[in-house]
Order: sequence, then structure tokens, then C-alpha cells
Amino acid sequence: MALLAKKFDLAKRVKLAQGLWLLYWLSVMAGILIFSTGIFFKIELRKRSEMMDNNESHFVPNLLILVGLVACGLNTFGGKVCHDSLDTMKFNKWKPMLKSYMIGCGFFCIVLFVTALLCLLMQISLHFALAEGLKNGMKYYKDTDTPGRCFMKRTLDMTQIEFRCCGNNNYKDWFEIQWISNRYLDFSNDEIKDRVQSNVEGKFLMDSVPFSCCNPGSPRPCIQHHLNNNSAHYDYDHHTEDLNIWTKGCRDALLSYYGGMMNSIGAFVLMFILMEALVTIGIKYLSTALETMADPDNPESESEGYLLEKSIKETFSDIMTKIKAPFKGNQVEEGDAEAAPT
Amino acid sequence: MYTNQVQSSLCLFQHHSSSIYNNPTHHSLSGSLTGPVDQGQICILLSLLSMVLLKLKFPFQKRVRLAQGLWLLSWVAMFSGAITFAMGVFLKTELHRRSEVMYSMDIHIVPNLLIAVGLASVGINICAGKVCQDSLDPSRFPRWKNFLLPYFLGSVFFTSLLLVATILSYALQPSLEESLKIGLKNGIRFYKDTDTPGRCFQKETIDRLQMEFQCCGNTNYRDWFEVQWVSNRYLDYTSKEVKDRVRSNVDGRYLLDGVPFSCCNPASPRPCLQYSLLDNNAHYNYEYQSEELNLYNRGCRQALVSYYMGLMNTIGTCVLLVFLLQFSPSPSTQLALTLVTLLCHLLIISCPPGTASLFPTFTELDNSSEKLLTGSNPMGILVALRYLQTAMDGVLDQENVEIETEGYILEKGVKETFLETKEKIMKFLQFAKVGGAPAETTEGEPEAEKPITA
Repeated sequence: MALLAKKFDLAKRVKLAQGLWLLYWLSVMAGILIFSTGIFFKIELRKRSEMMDNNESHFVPNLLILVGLVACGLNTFGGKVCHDSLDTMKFNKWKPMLKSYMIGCGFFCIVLFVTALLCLLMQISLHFALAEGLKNGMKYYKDTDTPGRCFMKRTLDMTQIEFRCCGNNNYKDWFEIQWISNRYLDFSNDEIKDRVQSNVEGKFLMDSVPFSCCNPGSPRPCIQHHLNNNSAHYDYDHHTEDLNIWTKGCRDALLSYYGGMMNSIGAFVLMFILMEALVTIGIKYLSTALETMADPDNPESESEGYLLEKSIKETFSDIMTKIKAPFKGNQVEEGDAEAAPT
Repeated sequence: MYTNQVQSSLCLFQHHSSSIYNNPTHHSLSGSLTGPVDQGQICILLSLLSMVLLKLKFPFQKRVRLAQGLWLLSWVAMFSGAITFAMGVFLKTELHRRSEVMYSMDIHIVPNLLIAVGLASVGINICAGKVCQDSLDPSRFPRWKNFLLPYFLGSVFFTSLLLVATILSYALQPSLEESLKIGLKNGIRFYKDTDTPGRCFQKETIDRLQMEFQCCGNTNYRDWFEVQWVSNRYLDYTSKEVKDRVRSNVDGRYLLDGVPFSCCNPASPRPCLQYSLLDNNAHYNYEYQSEELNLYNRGCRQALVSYYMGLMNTIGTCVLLVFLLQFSPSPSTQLALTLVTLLCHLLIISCPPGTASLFPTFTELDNSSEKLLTGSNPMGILVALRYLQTAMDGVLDQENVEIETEGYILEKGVKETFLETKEKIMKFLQFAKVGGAPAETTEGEPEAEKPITA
């Protein structure tokens, strides 16, 4: 008994072919979209690779690009088959390839599922990469004269301005490192000498932040220096002030940005799996409908389309016997060889 | 066929003139060809004249191909109109985003014109496409008989509007600059008024503007020295320094040689110096005369003007290029038609299986556009439309649709058509004047008008 069988006459077959052709073209466009999101994701990772300590893995965007290309190819082929399906001569060209094509599509759906899963899981690895990268970034902020780190200051400033964040976890991270280069410090000044001597490593630490932490939405001109000292500024209380500088940390800001991107890509890939499954089912119906035509020479004859030739259980046992057949073959031969000499 | 006719007439003429050349006793065409004849000039003149009068034979197939090619061209023109509209909308949104630092809205006329032209062009070309679709059906064509003149006038009008927009975009540059100057001056003045309703967000606007366009102040950073940009409620009036500064100028303003943080340049190797900019001793290893990376050097007015002029130049170039396709029978039309043919190939490969064509003989569209390209001189939409209209006029009263008809651009020669049009206009003006005259004379007039207008 065939699984989910349906009767098809010429008009229905034509409608099925047209609808399927349209779906295939939509899938091609979705494949192109996946390809371009892969490229976009790769570019975004590259842009901020300095924040991630040049260590981030490009596996997921590369996989997306590959998957997009394969999807385009498979669906264009499917569309061509649909286009030719109503012309018996042209369709016979494609008939032998259809079975392997459908198995390929099924396998591709599994690959898509794995891709979506990886997309969603990548956020964890990104979390650790960002934590390490930002810490180093802040450490090298002052080294604008060291080759290889000249542009760290600019990158970090632009990131803080663009993502509206300050420091790694919050703005207090800036208090623990020296972010002003020694060549701009007057070491003959008493105050500077005091500060440098006040800590073990001889770093010039202050309770100040760079200008890129400033919030333009604050009603007051930005207060960057002496942030913990209430008396240094008129009408200022650092416990209640919240609009002066950005309070969010850059790691959280960057993670939520990338996380949002990856979630939407993952969701889109999951929806694409549904579409792929739909077109595979459609082409199975179409091919079986064309194969089981009562009178092959008469295009207007009726036919039956089905999903599986027998029921699920029977098909499964068929497949198992097929897999076991090569092994059984050896056993039977040995038995014959034993029986023959005796 | 067109080139053959022209060539044959040219050949005849050349043969004739060469024979005149060799045999001076023959009467020459113009009667004054005694010296060396500039054959090239006369050839061009003759071909122009003959083109004007040129009647082409239009068998059924050729009419069909003409209509199809024209339908394609009208779609191309429609897309160019849509592009113009989109660019107009984009420019308008960009201008609107910075409307807070602009004092007058004069410059908005440029995107408004682009939007109007784009919409009108889309509408007109949809009509043209409809005309082409109906043209092969003689029962539906007659209602479009009088379409050509309005189409022509409309196209000319909107193209001239486009040219006006381009000219305006250059002419209004001083006005834009002046508007920005006043707007930025006000913005900087009201920077500190974050507690005044209506001006609360001036600070944020100016800060974001300076960060995004990488500029500082109106003309340069010194504009900030002349304005009090720190609000009074953050100034400690018991402090000596504040009191000194406030007393040092007539208006009692707190002026300082400092700038807001948004003027800071992130590319500077040194942490940003905002205050005491003119005092070399206030900072270690600092000399304000030679320091150039600390703050942005550009003024915001100049930055915004160059941004908007760049935007308008790009849009103007794109739009003009796209519109030239419509009217020139030239390499640009050929390029457009090549692209359209490629698109057609794609469309035909990807045609849905077993569908009825949405246009008669859709599969021949491929061939027809190729023929238009490789055969005769590619014609502009107008010329082709004129040929189609005149060819279809011949079919209208016949029963057999598939007869051969003639198409032409002008029924008679240039001079005669001009005289006729002049007469028509004169008659119309006279009719309008005599409009209030007694009934007997008006009875005579319409009868005289009828044979001419019929």
C-alpha cells in the first residue's frame, strides 16, 4: 500500500509542476540570501578581529557560504527538472538522476540543521574570544607608537562610540590600567610622581576614562576625569550620575550585537529547512505521478503519485535487507563451499 | 530594409553627382554645383530629408515585432522612472535627517522635482506599454489613437523638469551653505540649553553631527571659544576662576578656550585635550600651533555642504544617464537593448512550464529584440511609437488584419507639415476670437474646420 497516494490528471500535474517550479525559484533566492548573509557575517567578524584577539574561528560563516552555494545549485537543478517535466522526451533525460537527487536533498537538510545549530552555539565561543580580546585591547590603548598596535587606540575609541559602551565589563576597567602613554606625562611633576609611586608596578593610574566613553545624550558637558571625586566638580555625585558616560560594558554590547545577528541567521536557516523538505516532497510526488501514467504515450492519462511505494515499515525492512544483502552473500557462499566438497 | 532604401537612394545620388562631375553638360540637381562638390554634406542632408519623409513598409510580422520591441522599451523607461523616484526619496530623507541644522528648506525643491518626474515617468510609460499591448488588436487600438501627442508633450515636459532640477542643484548651493551657516550658528548657541523645552536635544544633535561628519564648529573649532557652551547650572559661581572669566567680557558669559568632547579625533596618538587649548603650558609637550591631530580640523558647514553636493552630483549623473536612453537613437540605446535582450533570454529560459504567454508570441520577443538591434538603426521610443501609430491607422478600417501597411513619421514633408500646423493654429485663434459672434458665421466655421480635423 503506497504512503499518502493521490490521483493526478493532466491539469493537476501541470499545476503541481508550475507550483513546484515557483517554489524552487524562491528556494534559489533564499539560497542566495544565505550565501550573502554568510559573506556579511564573515566581513563583520573581520572588522572587529582586533577586539577578538585575532583568534576567532571563521568556521560558521564559511559553512554558511558553502551551504548557500549548494542550495542554489540543487534548487536550480530541481527547477530545471520541473520545467522539463511536462515534456516526456526531456523528462526522460532526468529520470535516472532523480532518485540520487532526492537522497542528496535529504542529506542536505541534515547539513542545514547542523549549520543552524552551530550558528546558535557559536555565541559561547565568541563570549570568551571577546573577553580576552577586549582586555588586551585596553592594555595596548596607550601604545600608539608600537608597530602592530598603533591603531588599537583608534579602533577601541570607534568601537566605544559606535556600540555606546565603555570598558570591558563597565567603565571601572579603565581605572585599573594606564591608558595615557608615558611620553605625554611630565615626570618632573609631583602629582604624577605620587601616582606612579602609589602602586607596585609603577603605572600611572587615575579615576578617568577616555573621551569615547562620553554619552552625547547627557545634559551636562562630559566629565571624564576625577570620576570618583564628588568635590572635583560642581553639583556632581558619582553614585547617582548615570547619563554622563556609557555604563554598559563593551563585551556585553558586542555579544548582543553578534548574538542578534546569529539568532536571526539560525532562524532563517531553520525556515529554509522546511522549504527544502517541502520541495523534496513535491518533486517526489511529481516524479511518481509521471512514472505511473497508465498510458505513457497519452499525456492526458491519469496517474497516481505517492510518497513511498510501500508503507514506512515495509520500506524500512526493505532498506535493511538491502544493507544486509552483501554480508549475507558471503555467508551463503561459505555454506555452499562447505556443502560442495562434502 | 531601411538601410537598403537609404543606401540605394544615396547610391543613386552619388552616381548622379559623380556623373555630373565627370560630365559638366548635365544639369545638376541644385543648379549651382560647379565647383568641387562636398558629397558628404549633401549626402547627410539628403538622408535627413528622406528619413523624415521615409515611408517604411510594414507587413504584419514587422508590425508585431515593432510593437513587442516598443513594449520592452517602455518597460525599460518605466524602470528608469522608478529609479529616479527612489533617488528623489533618498535625497529627501537625507536632507530631512539634518533639518535641525538647516535654517531654510529651499533646497528641498530638488528632491521634490525628482520625485514628481519619477512618478510621472512611471505613469506615462505604463500607458505606453498598454498602447503597445493593445496595438495588435484592431478592436482595442482606436481608443489610443490620440495618445501620441500627449505622450510626446508629457515626455518633453518632464525631461525639461529634470534638467531644471539639475541646474537648480548647482544654483542652490550658496543658499544651502547660507542655510547651514545660520543653522549651525544657532545650534552652537543653544548647545547649553538642555533644560529649555524645544532645545533640549540641540546638544545631542550637534555632538552626534560632529562625531559622524568628523568636524568641529561652524567654520572651525575656534567657533566654540566665542560661545558659552557650558550651562550656568553646572558653574560654581563661588569659584574665583569662574567669576574671573564671567567678568572678563561684556555680556557676562563664561567663555573658555575649550571644546566639547565630540570634537576629539580618535585617530590622535594622544588622549584628547579639550580644555586650555591655547595655553601651551597647561599640557606637557603641547604646542597648539603645530598640533593638528588632536581635534577635527574641518568645519561642519564645509563637511555638510561637500556631503550634500557629492550626493546630488551622483544622483544627477545617474538620472541623466538613465533618461538619455529614452530619446537617443545611439550607442546608449543599443547598450540598453543589449541588456534587455540578455534579460529576455533569462526570462525565456525561466518561463514557467506550459504557461500561456502573457503577450502574443512571447517566445518571439527574443528574436524581435535581436532584429531591432542587428537590423535597422535602433530607434528611440518616440520614433518607433510614431511608426506604430501610423502603421496601425492603415489597418483600422480593414477587415483583414494581416495586410501590409505603410508607416511614416510625417505624412508630408517638413515644410508642408509646418505650414499646415501654422494654419491650424491660426484657424483656432480666429475661432476663439470670433467665438462671441452671431450664429450664422459660427455655422459656417465648423463646416470649414471639419474636413481639416477629420
